[in-house]
Amino acid sequence: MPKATPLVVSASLLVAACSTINPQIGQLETFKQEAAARNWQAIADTRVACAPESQGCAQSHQIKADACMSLGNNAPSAQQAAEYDCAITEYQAAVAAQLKLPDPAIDLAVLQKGELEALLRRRDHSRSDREATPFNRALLTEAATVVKAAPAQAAGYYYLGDALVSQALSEQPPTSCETLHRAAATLAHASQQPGGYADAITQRRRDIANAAQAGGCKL
Amino acid sequence: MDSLTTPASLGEALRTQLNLESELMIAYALSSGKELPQSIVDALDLLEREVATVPSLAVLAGLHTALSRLVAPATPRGIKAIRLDAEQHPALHRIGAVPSLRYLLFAAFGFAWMFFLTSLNPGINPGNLAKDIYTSSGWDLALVMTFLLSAAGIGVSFGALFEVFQSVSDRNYDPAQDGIYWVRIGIGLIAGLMLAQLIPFPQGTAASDTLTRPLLALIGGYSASVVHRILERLVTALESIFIPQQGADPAAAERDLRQRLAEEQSRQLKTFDKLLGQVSAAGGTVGDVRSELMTLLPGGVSSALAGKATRLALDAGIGLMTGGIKGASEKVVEDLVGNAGDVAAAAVRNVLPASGALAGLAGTAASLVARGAMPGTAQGQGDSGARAIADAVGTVTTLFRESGKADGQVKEVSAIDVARTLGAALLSGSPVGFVSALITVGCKLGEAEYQRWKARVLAAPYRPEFLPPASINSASAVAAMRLSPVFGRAFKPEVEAGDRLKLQEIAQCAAGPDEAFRTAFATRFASEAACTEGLREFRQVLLDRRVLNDASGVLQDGMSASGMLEAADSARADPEAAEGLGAVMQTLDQARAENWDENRTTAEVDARLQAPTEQGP
Repeated sequence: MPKATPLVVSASLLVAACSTINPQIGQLETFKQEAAARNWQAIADTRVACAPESQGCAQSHQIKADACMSLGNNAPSAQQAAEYDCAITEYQAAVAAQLKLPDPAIDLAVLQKGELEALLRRRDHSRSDREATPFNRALLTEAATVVKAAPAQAAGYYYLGDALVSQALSEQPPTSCETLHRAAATLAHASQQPGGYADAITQRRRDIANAAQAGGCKL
Repeated sequence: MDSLTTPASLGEALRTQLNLESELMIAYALSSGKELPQSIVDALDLLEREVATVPSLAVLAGLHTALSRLVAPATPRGIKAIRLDAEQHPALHRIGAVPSLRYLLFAAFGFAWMFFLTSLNPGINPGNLAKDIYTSSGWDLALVMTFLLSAAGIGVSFGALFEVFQSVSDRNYDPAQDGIYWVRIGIGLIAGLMLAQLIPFPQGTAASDTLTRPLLALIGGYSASVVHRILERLVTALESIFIPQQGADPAAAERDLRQRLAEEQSRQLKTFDKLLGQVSAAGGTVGDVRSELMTLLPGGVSSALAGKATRLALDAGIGLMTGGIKGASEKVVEDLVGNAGDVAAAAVRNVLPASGALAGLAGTAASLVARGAMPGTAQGQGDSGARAIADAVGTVTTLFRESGKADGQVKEVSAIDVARTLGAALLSGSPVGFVSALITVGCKLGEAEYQRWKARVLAAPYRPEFLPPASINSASAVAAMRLSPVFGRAFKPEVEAGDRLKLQEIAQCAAGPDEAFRTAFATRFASEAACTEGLREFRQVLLDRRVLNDASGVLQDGMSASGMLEAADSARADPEAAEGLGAVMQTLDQARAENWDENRTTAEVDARLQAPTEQGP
């Protein structure tokens, strides 16, 4: 025992020194512990302090993004928008960090899907067309990027189709009919690719059919 | 003996043709961005592996057939003609993709130039154009005639050019038709001149007031058949002056035409058999070729329906020749109305899988059509039955209008197409189709989908599990709100502001229990009744779309899910039909509980539908 004590003390000092020299590693460890304890609020209240090109930065942003999404899904409706805003910002930061310094523990596709989902939910929590439009536009752009990067996956097509449906609902015929037509074609692609979303795609198709009927569009 | 008639040389010639055309069709399909079906990819793989040996004629023919379907409406002949022209005349090909197109283009320019030059002359003026060949003469008349000829030329060259352009554009151009275009130009010039100069228009009529001579010449050139019909009527009118008692004998004319068409059909069938024999001798098997050809008939047209369709097509062909498109339509209507039950029964046999029980159901349903005891025929020729017939007639009429109008082609093509059309159109709107669709959907849906569908068909009270709130997002809410006038009025501020969050909340609340919705939003409606009506309307929009989606996934081609719901709505409005509908749904409940298959369910439905029939007056 007397021989072991110095070793334990040395190891503790080493970890403490590491955390002091590289606080990012320390924050990531803390985030992981908080996430394991499902303490989402604590994570969401903490600012991620790391340079995008630093080790573990993408992971920290992802954990915070996931925490914000979780809070958003369970918060009262008045607070949900703010949580989704947080999730969008963190997912975007995680994507940027991952692109600067790829982290093998992180899947870029998962980050992108998370960002798309956060954009979609934030758009759906808008109180006016004016508020929703920037989120829908961002959703269109990001979904198109995902389609380009992973054309054999359903995710990009689904979110692109969803954004087009939303865009069509704020347009007038015949422009809306053309957009609905594009949305239907995009969702048809989505249904042919692996990656789930079957139920959501079906629902979007029903929405397209209703919107087309309401607008007198022939699809 | 012709070298091509020996089996070996015929086989070699066929192989060369199949190789070349398949290669061109693949190139065309790939360059057009068409997705190659797996069957074609497999055939290509097989060919690649057989490259050391000579690929069999059957493999090549199979690939050729599949490619022909892929590139349709383009034809191998059309693709080949255009490709050969590009290789043989690369410079001229840029002006027109085939020689005919270039010649007609040249002719059109010639006529347009002639029209332009003659119109520059002061002799072309309203005064001279108003004169006819009896009141004008010399240079003035020659100038006017040249002017009218050029107008007719523009009309006919436009018509021919447009036709060739369409066929080149669709890649189904047929070089064998080249000569016909020039004959058409000749006929068009004569027709245009006759219409403008020789055919008298009664003064004071709309035609004489609005149609100037150049326009008449242009119309005559564009459509020589108009002039032909006018002349025929003039001949009939003239005949009636001299032979007033002896009118045309329509029955005799019809007999004559029917005989000619039957002879033509028989001749073509012989040619077809001879062709099969030749292919067989060249290496393929007759069975292979026959089965390949039979797959061309969509759904495998049953002999019963094919026979009726052939008869129908024959009659329509006669109608077409004696009375044009209108005559064809009238004939089809006459036949369909006269044989509605038989045709419906044959149609259902064509689409549904063969079984004794189904045959019985078809007979029952057909007799119900006749008695008007089923939805859509409650008052004799009811809405959906009449609409099905109207749809069939409309499609058949379109087929005739779009077909080549050459006697044999019309008949042969239409026999198949009419069968397909009837199968789909009659099933979609007839009582037979309705009952069949109910059974198919009722047997194939999952439990949750079935309960939702049953509630919609029988207009049963709404249950919250029919519309899970999670499935409704803001887009669903906005889209459905636009189809629900009561909700649209009640929540106008949110709709106009684009308040997606609120609209989603409203929609999700509407999908839940009535009480929760009333507590939250009853004040938005003018009355309790308006709230109830709005809720019913909004839920039905969301529910209909789900039910249609569920049902469409299990229905066979030709059966319409929306037609089925419409028929259910009208059935509930008629006491006798509602009783039949209730019997069908009860049978389906029992079938699902006891795991009956579709055939047994059909037989039970048939038995229960027949029961009131036998007790009836």
